[in-house]
Amino acid sequence: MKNVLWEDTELPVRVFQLALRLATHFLERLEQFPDPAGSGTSLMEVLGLISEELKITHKQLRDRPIADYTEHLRARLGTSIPVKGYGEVIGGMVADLASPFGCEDRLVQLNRRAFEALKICIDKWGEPASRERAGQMKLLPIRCQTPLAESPILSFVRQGRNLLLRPGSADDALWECIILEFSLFHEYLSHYFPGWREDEEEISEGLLFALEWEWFQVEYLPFDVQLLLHQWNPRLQANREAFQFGQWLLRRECPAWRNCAAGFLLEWVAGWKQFRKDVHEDLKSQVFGIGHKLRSRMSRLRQKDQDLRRILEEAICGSCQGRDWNAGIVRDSLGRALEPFSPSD
Amino acid sequence: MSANETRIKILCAVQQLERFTIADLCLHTGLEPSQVYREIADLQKREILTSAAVMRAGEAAPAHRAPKLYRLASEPEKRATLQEEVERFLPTGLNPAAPSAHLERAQGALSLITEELLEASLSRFSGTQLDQWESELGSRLEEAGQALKRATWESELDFSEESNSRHPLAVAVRLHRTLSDRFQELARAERDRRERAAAESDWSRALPQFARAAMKMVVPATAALGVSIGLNPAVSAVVAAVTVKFLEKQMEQGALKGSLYEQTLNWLGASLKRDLSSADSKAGVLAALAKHFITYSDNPEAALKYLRQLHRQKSDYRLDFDQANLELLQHKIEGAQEYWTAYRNHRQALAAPPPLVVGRMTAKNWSDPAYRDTIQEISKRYPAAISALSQSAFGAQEDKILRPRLFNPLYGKNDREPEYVPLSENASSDLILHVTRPSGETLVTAGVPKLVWADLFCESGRALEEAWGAAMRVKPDDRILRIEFIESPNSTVRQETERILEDHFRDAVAFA
Repeated sequence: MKNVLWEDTELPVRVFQLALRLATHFLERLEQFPDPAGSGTSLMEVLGLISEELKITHKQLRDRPIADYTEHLRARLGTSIPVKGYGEVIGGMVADLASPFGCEDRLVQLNRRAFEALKICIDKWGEPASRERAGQMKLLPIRCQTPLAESPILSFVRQGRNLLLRPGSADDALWECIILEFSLFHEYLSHYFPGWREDEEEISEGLLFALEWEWFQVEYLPFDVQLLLHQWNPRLQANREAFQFGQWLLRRECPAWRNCAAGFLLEWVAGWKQFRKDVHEDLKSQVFGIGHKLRSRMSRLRQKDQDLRRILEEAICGSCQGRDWNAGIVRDSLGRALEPFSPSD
Repeated sequence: MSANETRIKILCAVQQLERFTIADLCLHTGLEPSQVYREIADLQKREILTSAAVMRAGEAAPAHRAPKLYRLASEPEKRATLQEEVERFLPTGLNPAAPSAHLERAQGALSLITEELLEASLSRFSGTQLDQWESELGSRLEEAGQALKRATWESELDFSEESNSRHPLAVAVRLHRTLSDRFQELARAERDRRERAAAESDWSRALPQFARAAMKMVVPATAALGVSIGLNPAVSAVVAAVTVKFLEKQMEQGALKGSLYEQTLNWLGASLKRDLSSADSKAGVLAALAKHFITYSDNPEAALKYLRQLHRQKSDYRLDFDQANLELLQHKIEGAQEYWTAYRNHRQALAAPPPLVVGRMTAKNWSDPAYRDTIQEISKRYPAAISALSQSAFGAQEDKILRPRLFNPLYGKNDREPEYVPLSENASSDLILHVTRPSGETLVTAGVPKLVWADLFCESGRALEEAWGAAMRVKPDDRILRIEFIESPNSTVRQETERILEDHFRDAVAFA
């Protein structure tokens, strides 16, 4: 099976292909010229300008062949973005646009990198259940397809052993493509890796996204982080609270804490099938609730708050040595810790 | 978003994150980098925050344009300053009263459960329906409880504090507790009720005919009551009959159970209730019912059934006597003889017969002067008590009427129980005995007239079968003379007495 399959060549797919090419050329030229001299313009602003050019081209050309788009953009980039200090980057991109480009190869490359990143992440933070789960995962071939209904954002749907990529609007196409590696990494870790049948949004888009954010900040460059922030900050709105709790959980003072908390989260979702749904529901309520109680308590912690924190730390960190988290045992332990906060009889 | 809102978001995020980059802070708060720089600079200036370039593991120096990592100062006073500022902006805390999906789900469920418990009519449910109701409602209560527990866990509030006791979640928890108690109470009460009903049902299965026949006792009881309060006897009888029909129908439909059954028994008579309630065994119940059926029922067959069942459980020769009487009332001569024979065999084995001479004469040969002369002559010679008995009236000389009595099946149960109980007047209206006894002493007889005769003949020396045959031949207007000596009469005394009787009644007497 081919690792990339273009299911159609409708305009959204063509715009996606062009945006992916622009993003690739931009990042490649930036690697060559990482420090534009004497510019008062940030990389984000430059990228914004290039994105504008793509939007304008889209408006002007509408349903034209990709070669027309490429030629049109090449002409505009050469004349419309005379940003001081970025001449080599933009000039390089203009030259790149005149050369052949393997769009499929690039998509395959990003897909492989994302999948490898997942494996490395699991190898670093995961434990037995996570590793077993990761060992069962396969690189998913990508099938690119125009969405039935127009959507502003690029999306993925797992369909059997394929990953269906549906491009978003032309307005955001460049931004989507420039963080495509992370989006694929997120798809693998938040949606493919967990053992559940149906997504648990608070966990996949909140807790696990916080873990992915941690990973990304460590493993990627500051500019990548900026790009990710730019693209994901607005779309995190619905699950920001879960993300905040994930951040709080992963940022405790203990140096090993992040590894423990990350390990706990990964083991929890990897071994999802081993426990009944109510165990997960309970555990979810407990971990979010502990976050609410301790994060919102800004005054000095009372004894019962300290006890609660200690038990949470024991539940998550206590397994450091054994490296074996059991959702049922953690649930029972946290349940006991939360008893003193229940209404008295 | 106002500047204050932006500021409070940043301050809270700083407290929660403690170590962060600008990107962390922005993703945490949803703010843009441009919105946070000024506040962060201010916090740095006040030394609440410190910063350092992020260094990657293995690097000797930070990369060019490396992001800054900000840290919340560790000094308590600086943290306190930040906290005061946050509380000034947001005295109620960071996440005030966020709606809980678990709480809303539990509230919805509890509302429905409340309605169902208020409207529950469990007595209408079949056993399976009750099981299903209990199982389903129990599950829903459990689910609601679980949802409340999760809502409690998730909340930022401490519900053990009195100040949160009026929070909707605390209210819902109390409601859940109340409903759970109520549910268990209802289910338990219904189960208990059914167990009691089942026990009563078992009881009524064991004694269906008793209970049914017991209804018949209402007739005399109601009639007597009606008469005692001044109702026309005919009207009282009709009321009684209608009442019995009603109660029988209720019983057939299974409605006459539990408290109604109890009330009915109350109504039937305090003594029956007392006897039944003090019965400690099936034999006790049978004895109580037999006693009352003998006393009140005009249906000898019913009483006989209970006596037969009782007799199977309790060996008492006197029960044979009662059964002989009741058989006779139903004109079952052979059955009656059988029981009577059994009774006499037992009795004679236990005690010697009284010293008697018994004579029978027809009504046409009877005269009061002859009777007086006979008494006078015998009394001069031998100390004896002389009586004349008949089912027909004697006239002016008669001094007593004896109603038939049977052995009390409850005799010996306690001190209150007499040895004999009267046979129902309805059943024995034509079975009274007229007695004339000049000595004035009380004469004790037991049973219906024919059995009284049979006993007399037997006790005066006749063989059982002969005595029985003679008794069956006694006519209602025949007179029976009973002469009881102080000492057992020898043959001379017996012959002399018989001679005196023959003299006074012109050879019309037949001796036993």
